[in-house]
Amino acid sequence: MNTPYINQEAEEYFKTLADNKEVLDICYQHICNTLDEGLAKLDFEKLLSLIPYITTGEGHLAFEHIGESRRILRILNIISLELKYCDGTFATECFSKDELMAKYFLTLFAFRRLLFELSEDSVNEATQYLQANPLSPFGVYILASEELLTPTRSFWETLADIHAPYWSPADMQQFSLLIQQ
Amino acid sequence: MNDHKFCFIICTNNDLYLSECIHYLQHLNIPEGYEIDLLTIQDAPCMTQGYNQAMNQTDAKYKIYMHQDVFILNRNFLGDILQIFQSDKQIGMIGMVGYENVSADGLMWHGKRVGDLYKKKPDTPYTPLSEYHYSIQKESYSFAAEIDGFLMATAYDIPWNTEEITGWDFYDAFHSMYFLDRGYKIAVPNQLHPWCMHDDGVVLNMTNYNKYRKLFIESYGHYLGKHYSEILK
Repeated sequence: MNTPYINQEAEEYFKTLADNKEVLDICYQHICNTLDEGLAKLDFEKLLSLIPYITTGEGHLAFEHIGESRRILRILNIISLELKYCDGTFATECFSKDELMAKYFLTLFAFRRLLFELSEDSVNEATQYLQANPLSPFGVYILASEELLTPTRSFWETLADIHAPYWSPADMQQFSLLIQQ
Repeated sequence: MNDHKFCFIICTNNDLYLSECIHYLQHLNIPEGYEIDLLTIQDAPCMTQGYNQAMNQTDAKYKIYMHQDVFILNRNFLGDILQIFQSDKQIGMIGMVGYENVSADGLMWHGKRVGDLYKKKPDTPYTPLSEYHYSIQKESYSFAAEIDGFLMATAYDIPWNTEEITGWDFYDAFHSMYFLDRGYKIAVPNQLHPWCMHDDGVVLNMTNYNKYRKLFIESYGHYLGKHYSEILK
């Protein structure tokens, strides 16, 4: 086994990471600050400026190395679609990055409880949370299809049932089209 | 030592994640005649210190050290690890994901993997969780040289190295070597349905990672590339 060569590859990888660390920290801090400022003032233009920053700009480094950046981008993509087609956005009632991420995680946890059905109480708690914090069809679809979940047909149907009181016929149709993809 | 007791040990800095992790623990089936305990260490200075503190606080024989972002999906997890431990007294530690060899560059995941973890796109669709029951006869377990630290269950206490491992990395690799050096096998269940989900969305702070990688190579250079069977005393 060519251990020195294998070790050298690892060393080069870590050297690249170390070289980029300062820039990475600056990028991530910019993302967090922009979120805080944008949410505090409900400045969606500011928020959505992060999409090109993360996807094609300097923020791409954060996207590659910090998992939270990927979740932030996911939320921004949801908001971008909601601003065009919906009333209200995922960021409703969120005035800071921490509040936004808390909502994201509570939603994700609720989705997983619906999927895994640990107990009736567990499912009921998840249902109640989603009923109190309903999402748009885009929010439901993008979060469930991109996160660490394996959605089943019955899972999608459950989410549609939960959101039926809050979605218009057009929303329901939009959701049906999305899950058929 | 109470050999009818399990203790979950979690270092934590995120209440949301910890709460959800505990939600899954609360749904585990407890083998008859056994009890469980939970110790959480808030804002530990490093993983090894947190784990040592908890290890010395509980009289449970079976200790499950796990990350706050791990969700145990297998409701019979406790009974199943008990079966594995009791099948062979030489098994000292169980992990969910492990590697048969110590990798040549010290990066655990570069070795041949055993075990499983919940994936978004599994090779074959998962059986519904409600229908899954581990069978030690059919699924059995593999042995490993190292296990991933997101979940490490022990049947024997070996102090964690708080002198040299003072961060959040490589505690798992070092601890695996300590078990092997003392003649304990490390088992990883073969899982038709993954027993755990690990939601590690935040990438490691790799700056310190390399420091501990080098320390591991210095300390265990003679094991690099070796199969667990070549290391086990």
